[in-house]
Amino acid sequence: MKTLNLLLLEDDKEDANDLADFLNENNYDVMISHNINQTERLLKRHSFDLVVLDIMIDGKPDGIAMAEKMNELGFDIPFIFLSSMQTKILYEKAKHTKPVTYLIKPYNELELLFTLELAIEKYFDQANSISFDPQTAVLSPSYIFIKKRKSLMKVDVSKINYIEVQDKYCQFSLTDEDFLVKLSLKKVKELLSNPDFIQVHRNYLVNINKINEIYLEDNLIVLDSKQNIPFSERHKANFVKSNHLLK
Amino acid sequence: MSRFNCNYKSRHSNTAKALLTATTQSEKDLLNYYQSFSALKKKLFKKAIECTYNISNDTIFKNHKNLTLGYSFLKLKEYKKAIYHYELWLENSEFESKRKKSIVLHNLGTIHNILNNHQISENYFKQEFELIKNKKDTVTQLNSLNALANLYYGQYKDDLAIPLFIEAYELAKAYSDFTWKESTTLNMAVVEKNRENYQASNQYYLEAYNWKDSIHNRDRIWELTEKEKEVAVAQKELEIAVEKEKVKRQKTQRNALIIGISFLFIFILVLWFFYKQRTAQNKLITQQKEDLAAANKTKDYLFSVVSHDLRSPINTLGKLHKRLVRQIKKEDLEAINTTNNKALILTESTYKLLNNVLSWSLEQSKQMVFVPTEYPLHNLVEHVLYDFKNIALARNIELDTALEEVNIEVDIESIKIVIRNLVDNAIKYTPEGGRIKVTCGTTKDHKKFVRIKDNGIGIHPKNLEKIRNLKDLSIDKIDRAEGVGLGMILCQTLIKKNQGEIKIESTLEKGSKFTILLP
Repeated sequence: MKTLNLLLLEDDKEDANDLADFLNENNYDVMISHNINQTERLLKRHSFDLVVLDIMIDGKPDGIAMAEKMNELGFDIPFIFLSSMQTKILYEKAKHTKPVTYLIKPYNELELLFTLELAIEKYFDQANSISFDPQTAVLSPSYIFIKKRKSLMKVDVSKINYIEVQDKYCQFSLTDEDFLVKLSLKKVKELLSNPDFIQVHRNYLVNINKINEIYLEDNLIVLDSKQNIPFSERHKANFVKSNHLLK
Repeated sequence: MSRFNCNYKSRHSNTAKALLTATTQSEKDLLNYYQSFSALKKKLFKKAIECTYNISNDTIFKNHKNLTLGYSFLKLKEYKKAIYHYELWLENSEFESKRKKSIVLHNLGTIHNILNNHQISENYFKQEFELIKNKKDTVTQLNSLNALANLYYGQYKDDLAIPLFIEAYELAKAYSDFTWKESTTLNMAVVEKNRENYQASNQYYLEAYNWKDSIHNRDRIWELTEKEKEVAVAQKELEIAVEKEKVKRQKTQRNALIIGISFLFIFILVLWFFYKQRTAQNKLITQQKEDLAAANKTKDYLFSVVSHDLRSPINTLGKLHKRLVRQIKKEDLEAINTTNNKALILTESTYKLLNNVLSWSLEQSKQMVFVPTEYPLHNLVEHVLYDFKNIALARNIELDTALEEVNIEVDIESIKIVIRNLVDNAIKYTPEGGRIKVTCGTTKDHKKFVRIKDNGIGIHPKNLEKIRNLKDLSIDKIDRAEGVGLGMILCQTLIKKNQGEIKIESTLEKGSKFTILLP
């Protein structure tokens, strides 16, 4: 489980530091830039999960300019605007760059954290998931975003060994940790849309890269982590059909 | 006449041609008959005679032949031959008409008279007279009478002649024609004169003269009538011309009228158009004036807010800071803490007011961003309440929540402003140790609600009425002295903009209940 990497563009150094401190407290890794050149440099050098842009930078709407540049350069990262300006002209201009959402000053910490969650779920087209119910998650082929207490965390999908149904939940099992997500296995499979995860049982999805051995006769899969996963007949047939090596 | 001649001529030439080819006698007779007839009509008597001679004697044309020859010779003054043929005709005249007979008899009489064969002439005239006596043809009778009378008179047979003259005179008198009247009267005059009966003669002359006059008069009358006719025609033509002129003038007048009316109509249309434009402009101007007046009121209002509600707290803040400087010098930590808390609270409240002023001015200048979006209401309420946790704790006010998970589709920022203001008011008017409960959810009629209930001092019914009426009130009607703040105005305006409403229940000393209803 990892923290989210966040890039902040804010010209006021004190505000930027306050904000960064607060976000750090809430398990975000924050990098600060004070102008758009810096922002661009950082974007090119590191990978970020979210970008927060203050619109007015040194009296100019550089935040919008930065957003335009990001779209132009094809950065596939969700970004949100922070602004105290509620005027229509600026709003329309900002809207044009298709930000995930806005946060209008004055805002409180709670709103900021909520807005960041909104940004993530909106970006992956899963609105009203974690923002509505913290027990759900936002799933993407490479990362799963879950809420751990009040903070948003991400899980590298490739680190998941298997996923198991537990009542209304799905348990995601990693080598060193487990966590529950309030989603059906079917929904998880659909949202994950990762070909490495195959269904071996009504209640199990297994990461194919984590399989150590398969005992076809015993209907058993043994993972690298020595865990045993049942292999149902129906899913076995499908599995064999799509894997010629095993014939 | 010339056409007739022409016809006869052509018939003559045609028959001449036909004669060359005709073979049988009857054919030739017929053609010769036609030729002679044509010649007679054309007064070519010699030719007529020639052609007539060519007709054979035995045919049905025999009588006709004699008649034609008699007439032709009479005209050529070959009287003997004329007599010969007329007499031949008379011999075979049993089947001829009385009219023809009378003519032939008359002609024979005349010829003999000319030849001085008075006895024979008399005979013929008498025969003629006998023939026509019973007829009612006055002219023929007069003709015959006259001829006979003249014959007798010429032979000095006055006894026979005079009665005939008188008869002719009487007959003519009854007859209408003036010429006959004149000639018979003149005859009488001559007769009387010769009888040396001058007085009677004179009488007849006078009468004849009168008849002549009558003829003359008749002609004159005729002439006059003709003239009159001409004059009348001329007059009529003149009248017609005048009428035409009149019609023409009327036409011109009518055209002028039509053009005039058209122009008038166009003029009226143009006038109407300008009038409409003018009224539209006036309407626009009035509208603009009203808008301007409202904007001016808003501006005045904002100015007054800035000068009263913002100026004094900032001033106080300045004083507090100066006090802090002194207290820091004295290192009086307790005093510093108190002053600092005062400053913090004041800053907080001023900041809220400033936010309201900003929102209000944006709303009034139609610059406020208004984007309805779907949003979880419970989270929204939670976020707003987060800011009040500290102050509630500081004032020992219990801030309870019961939030049902429900989504709304409204403009989030404006709803936040409203909830913020209402909670702020609740805290302001709830004494220490009081209780505020915030709930949200769905009503029975599927509306979303946020309810803020406190057990504070409540609102005076007079003020309550004012707050309730705010939604229908414009800024210029609000008297700031009456204690209705910008916050409530803003709340009513924004909720109305979101198609919601605010319901307020309040009892003095017991508390108030504000319910925001949203679609």
